[in-house]
Amino acid sequence: MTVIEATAQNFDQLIQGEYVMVDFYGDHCGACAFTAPFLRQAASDMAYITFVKVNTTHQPELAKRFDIKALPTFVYFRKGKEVYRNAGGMALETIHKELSKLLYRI
Amino acid sequence: MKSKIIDFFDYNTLEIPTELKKWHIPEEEIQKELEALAADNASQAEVTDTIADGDSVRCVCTACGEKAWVGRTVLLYPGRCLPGAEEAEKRIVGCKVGQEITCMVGQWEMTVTIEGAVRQITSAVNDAFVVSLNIPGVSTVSEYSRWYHQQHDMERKTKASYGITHFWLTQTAERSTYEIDEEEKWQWCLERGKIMFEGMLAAGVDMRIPEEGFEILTDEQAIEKAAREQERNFIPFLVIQKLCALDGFVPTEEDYRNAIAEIAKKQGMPLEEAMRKACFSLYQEMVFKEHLFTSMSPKAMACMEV
Repeated sequence: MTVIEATAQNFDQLIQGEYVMVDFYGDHCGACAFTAPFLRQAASDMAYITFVKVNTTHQPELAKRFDIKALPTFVYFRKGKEVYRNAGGMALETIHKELSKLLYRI
Repeated sequence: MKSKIIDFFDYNTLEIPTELKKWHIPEEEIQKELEALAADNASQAEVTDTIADGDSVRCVCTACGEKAWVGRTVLLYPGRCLPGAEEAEKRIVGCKVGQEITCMVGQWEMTVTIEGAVRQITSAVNDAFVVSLNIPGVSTVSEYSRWYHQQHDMERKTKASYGITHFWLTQTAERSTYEIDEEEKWQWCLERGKIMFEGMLAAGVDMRIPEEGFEILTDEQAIEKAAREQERNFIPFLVIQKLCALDGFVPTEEDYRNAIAEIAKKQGMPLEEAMRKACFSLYQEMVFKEHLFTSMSPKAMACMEV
């Protein structure tokens, strides 16, 4: 699976999955560029999780709606409901660590 | 400005470090990109034999001391060592779809039924795979490499040239000598500090709240703190201003007003409000850098490895 680029039109549908990770990123953000290949690797490797990315430069209304104050910000959803969020660049090991909070906590 | 550069260092006399001259895209990067593309295009097959490391497994919790878990989907990724599922990942290896196991997930012991498992089938990186990418005129690995260079070489070269330009500018700032008017410098920093404080506040970051300790700063203290952070930019500003002046590039207040008016129009904001939120020195710094990085880049490129 690849990371799906979301728009204001398809976003709400995308986050309805059982487990969803959304990456709010920016065009000129070094930490976002650092994280992108690791996120892509996680998306290729971990079936059943929906990986979504939102370009905050092109989708400012989504950034505003989710009150994104830092880039990148990762928001985790279960069946459309936000479970938690974290911000800052991540390598694969940290992505795994953060995903485990989505998958293995109530 | 009253502050002056007394002895202006000539960056042309500098030896550029070899590391900064490098810009070529290594073949390993292209190979990695192809491997990542193969992973992106990997197909998934249902696991019909026993589950192995690397598979993705979907289970459903059928029994657990914590009722919230019962009926919930539990995803396991054997071999990835996700915190909280290490034991379950080991236990599920060798099992089959339909089987029921008891394992630890997070802090709970639970019984799960394996509902499905998929295995990633990644294509080998070869000419046939490159053909499947459907890039016009690209049908072999070596042609992909050539295409990749066509797409990215100029961007890498430009990025490296900015690195050299940055080196020239920082060295010029470090090696020149100055006569600084401290009052002018402080007013310069204060103006920018005020804009920074207000801008951060509008973005939801309150500089009055300290990073350490509990004492909330007053507006004045927070602005002063922001102004102190601007002090390091004053000398580099003098340097880029001087270099631009030598090029005959001198942005005027009128240019500044026009640029702000354009932004105000785009954002549907009254000009007065936009002017209140803007700062001439920040505008100057932006256009000075834009001018210098554009004008010095070709010269920097000429110094880079062939």
